[in-house]
Amino acid sequence: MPEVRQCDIPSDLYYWPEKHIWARPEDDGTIVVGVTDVAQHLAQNIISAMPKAAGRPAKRGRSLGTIESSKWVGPVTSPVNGEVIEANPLLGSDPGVINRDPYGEGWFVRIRVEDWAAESAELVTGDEGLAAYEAFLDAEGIDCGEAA
Amino acid sequence: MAAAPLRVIDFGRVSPLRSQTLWHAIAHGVSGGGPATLSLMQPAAPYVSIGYHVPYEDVDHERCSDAGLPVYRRMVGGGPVYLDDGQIFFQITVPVEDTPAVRSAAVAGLLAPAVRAFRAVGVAAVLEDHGDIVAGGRKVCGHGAGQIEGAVTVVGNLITRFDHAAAASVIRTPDEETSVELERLMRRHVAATPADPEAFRDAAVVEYTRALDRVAEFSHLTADELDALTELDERFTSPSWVEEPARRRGSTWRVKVKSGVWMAAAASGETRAALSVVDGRIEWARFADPMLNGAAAAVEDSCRGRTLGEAGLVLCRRGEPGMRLAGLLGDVEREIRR
Repeated sequence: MPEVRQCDIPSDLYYWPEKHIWARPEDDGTIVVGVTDVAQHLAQNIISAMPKAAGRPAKRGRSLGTIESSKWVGPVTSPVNGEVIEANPLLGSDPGVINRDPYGEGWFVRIRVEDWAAESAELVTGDEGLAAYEAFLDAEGIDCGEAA
Repeated sequence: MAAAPLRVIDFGRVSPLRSQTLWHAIAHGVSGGGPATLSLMQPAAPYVSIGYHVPYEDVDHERCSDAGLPVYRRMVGGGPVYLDDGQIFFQITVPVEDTPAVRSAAVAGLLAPAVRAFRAVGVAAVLEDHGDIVAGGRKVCGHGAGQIEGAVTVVGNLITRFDHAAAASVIRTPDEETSVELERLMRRHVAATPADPEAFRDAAVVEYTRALDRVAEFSHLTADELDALTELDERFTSPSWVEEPARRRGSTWRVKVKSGVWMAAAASGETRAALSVVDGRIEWARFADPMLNGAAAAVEDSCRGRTLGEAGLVLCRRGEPGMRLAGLLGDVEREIRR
């Protein structure tokens, strides 16, 4: 998996670097969304996660739910417009899975998007995405190899 | 261009509801472009506040109802807490872009001026690595933090008088004995610091203006914040807000009194374990299993002073019921480490 400032950033996902969010289009046309390795590193020990329930609207830039670590509650920002069709059921009993596997079992919600072609144009991916994410991490001085 | 001033709002004594909704309205205002704000207030009556992710059932609603205590859900983290007029609340609210990306650094940075304010009024407070503000080894300030819209808010309190019995009683525990042990832990690890509230407020203003490199400007809520306040008053008193969107508690129960000080309990069928754990070692234990045959007290004694892992090994030597209890201790250890 490609590393950017010691953070794992898979090149095949779509990112909103400033929000530390990834999105992955699925074969069935839905989009799986989660927080990046950077986000879990910044949050540290995640003790609770509350994604929005299925049926709730997803609006780009608005909260898809929240995560809590060390008495801090913060939003998980939606990268797309659409409707939440599934919240990760594992998060209720094991929120720490976000720390351990942010791109796999630690996914946050699945969304039915209105127009992925248009939505994805607002995100970055591939080598260009990695470069954009690296530029943002450089500017913020974030390195996942350093203690948060 | 000179930095915007630090807005300071001292609301004085306010209703329990407003002691929560006022600072959420400020977060809305700061999110909308308002200046960083230091706010203070004192609740005029006792109540219970629960963190945004705390299950509603973690509060003993029967006792709250009997005592006439309303319950409000805040939008920052932390557990269920009993609050009354022996506490002066302070909140520092800043735009999210003005805080470090690393959350622990953001919280520590925004609590540090409060620690200096404590010291300025004679409380030998220190900010421990894990975020608690302590004096003489006892926690003297509760805190919570979070991002509300586009603002970061860190909240804390000056505790001039602390009702340990009330604080323990509002938390739902598996049984009365556990509640008594919880109160004992609170008495030992949470302390009031009877400093002068006005002196603390003045010191907090000095320290936060210095830390943020701004000039204090005593002010009030904007019209937009007052509109938000009306909406927040309604939301915070709505059962759907207080009772949801809480996550559901699993089979393991826990309460953090301060960092490293836990009450926890787990159950599976008729096997039950309740424990207090201080700095990784069991201080108090109550076990139940139909096959213990009157040996529960001896088993509990054998675990006291041990780590959860050590106690698990001791229990495993006691046959089937011991192995069941060891399994529960494993659940507790995982819950505490989370």
